[in-house]
Amino acid sequence: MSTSSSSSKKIVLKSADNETFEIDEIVALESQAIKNMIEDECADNVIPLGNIDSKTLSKIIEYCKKHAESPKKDDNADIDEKAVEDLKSFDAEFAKVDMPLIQDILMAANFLNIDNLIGLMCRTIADRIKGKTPEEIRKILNINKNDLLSPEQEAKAREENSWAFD
Amino acid sequence: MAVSVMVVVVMEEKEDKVVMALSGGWPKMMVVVCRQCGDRLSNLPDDLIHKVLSFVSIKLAVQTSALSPRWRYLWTSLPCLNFLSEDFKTLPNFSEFVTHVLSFRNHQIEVSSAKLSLRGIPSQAFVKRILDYVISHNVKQLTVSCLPESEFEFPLSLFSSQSLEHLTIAGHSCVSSVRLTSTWELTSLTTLHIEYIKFNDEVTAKDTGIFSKCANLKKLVLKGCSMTKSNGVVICHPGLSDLTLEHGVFFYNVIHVVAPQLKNLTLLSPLMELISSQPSPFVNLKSLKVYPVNFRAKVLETIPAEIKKYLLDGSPSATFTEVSCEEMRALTNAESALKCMAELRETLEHEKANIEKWEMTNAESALSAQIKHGEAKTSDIISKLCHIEELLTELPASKRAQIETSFSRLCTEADIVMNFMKIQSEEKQSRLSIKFHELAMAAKPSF
Repeated sequence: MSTSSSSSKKIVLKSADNETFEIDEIVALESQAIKNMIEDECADNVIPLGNIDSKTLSKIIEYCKKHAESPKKDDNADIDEKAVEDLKSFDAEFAKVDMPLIQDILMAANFLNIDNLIGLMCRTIADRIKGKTPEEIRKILNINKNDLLSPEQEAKAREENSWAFD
Repeated sequence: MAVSVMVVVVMEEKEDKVVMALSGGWPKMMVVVCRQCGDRLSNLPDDLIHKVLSFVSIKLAVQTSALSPRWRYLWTSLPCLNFLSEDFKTLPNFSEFVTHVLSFRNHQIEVSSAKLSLRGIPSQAFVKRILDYVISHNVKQLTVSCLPESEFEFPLSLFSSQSLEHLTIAGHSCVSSVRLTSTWELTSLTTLHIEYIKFNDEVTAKDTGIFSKCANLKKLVLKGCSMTKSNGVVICHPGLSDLTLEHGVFFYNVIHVVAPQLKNLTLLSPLMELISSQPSPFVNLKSLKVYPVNFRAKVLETIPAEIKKYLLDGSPSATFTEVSCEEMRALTNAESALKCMAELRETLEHEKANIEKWEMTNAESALSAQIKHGEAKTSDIISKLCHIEELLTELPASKRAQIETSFSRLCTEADIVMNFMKIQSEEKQSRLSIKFHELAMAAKPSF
């Protein structure tokens, strides 16, 4: 499968901080939202993504490139294990970033509708909060101090659900 | 005559592999750059937070109610319910927890998937309560698995659902752990996976076949199942395209397969019993692969001609491959290497999390316990690495190359963790010795 031939159609994405990224159309098609735009012919040469910064966008493009290059399960029955293993370890490496970036990627993936990436980010967050106490989870997720329950409210929440706290 | 060959017919798709989740999460002090940012997750729509919570147990999901007002009632509308008995010390604790969840949950919200992991000997009423709840909330995907020592009869006599699409029931390798007792009416069921379950005669005696009321079944996996005193099993599904029959007392009986749409067939068992049902039920197979059972033995038994003929009779265009003992050994070794690597990854993650927690302590007993723990873990990690390396060297070069990249990555990871543990342990030791040095100084009589 050739995905990066120079003759293939290009799509330009523009981040919130006005950085532009030129990518192959096939890479952009990993996003269901962009795919819909292209199919409905409402995608101009440049697609502005006003709510995604360049750092997040470049990570997302890195992900889409890799996944667009990898053979899809549906169209090829004989995918060698190496490709599957390779994609798995790519995903694992990809997810090794700090929590704010993971949350940014998740938000952007949700906006762009990239199903696999949403799943990967959700699972990563889940893995990081597994076995942790609410205090630890608050730290991990950077839950804003102003958003916390008041001590009385928290005591009430714990009291109400005391059956779930050992 | 016992024939020691395994026959696997591999068609089309490869089995879905569970993607191993690797969480990053370096200890805080190791993160050099940390952006000062707020919590974005809380701003996301409920369904995304639900998706995160679908990967954790319902117990943790309920605990997130104490996080912030945003999270206060999120769990009550969670569509994925993972009831894990391993989260609880005793079965009564677990039962009480389930009662609370089921009564406080928002009943307007359907259950899309449910997982139930059981241990010990739960009452039928308890299991039935959970199943009834999820089925009445139109569950689509249901997984019930039993941990070791669990033994009970499945309360499935009234098991019928219009919504259920995927069902997995897994006993533990001890064959007699769980028993199924009835026929099911699951009209939407497409995937059925049953492992290590003992079937009751009631299910199998009928001529119409087991699961005959699951008319839309496309994929069926029966692994290590057994049945009592039965004369034969009929698997009859007009739409079945994937069938896997693997190991088990199962095959001491006769199996009749009636599945005209069958595309993928995997058999892992001695086959003499099967060929008694003539003519061959398998038509238009695309390929047939034969794996040796005793692949560690030196002499390779070849597949008897009559079995080969039987399997390939209806499939003139199928390609036939006999897997050699070397290939089989390579496959098994590669599998155990990958498994061992996954375990090690988990250990490393766990240790990283531990390191983070330990920073807080200063008590002597805790410090020395931590030093000991660190040493034990380091030697554990090293021995695991050695074992994997040993397995890898036994692999043929092509297979080895596939795994080596992730192995070297794992080594780097292990190296970082072990180094960190070493630094910590040295630091702790020096802290301890300073402490005792101070004590010694204080005890010195002053003139």
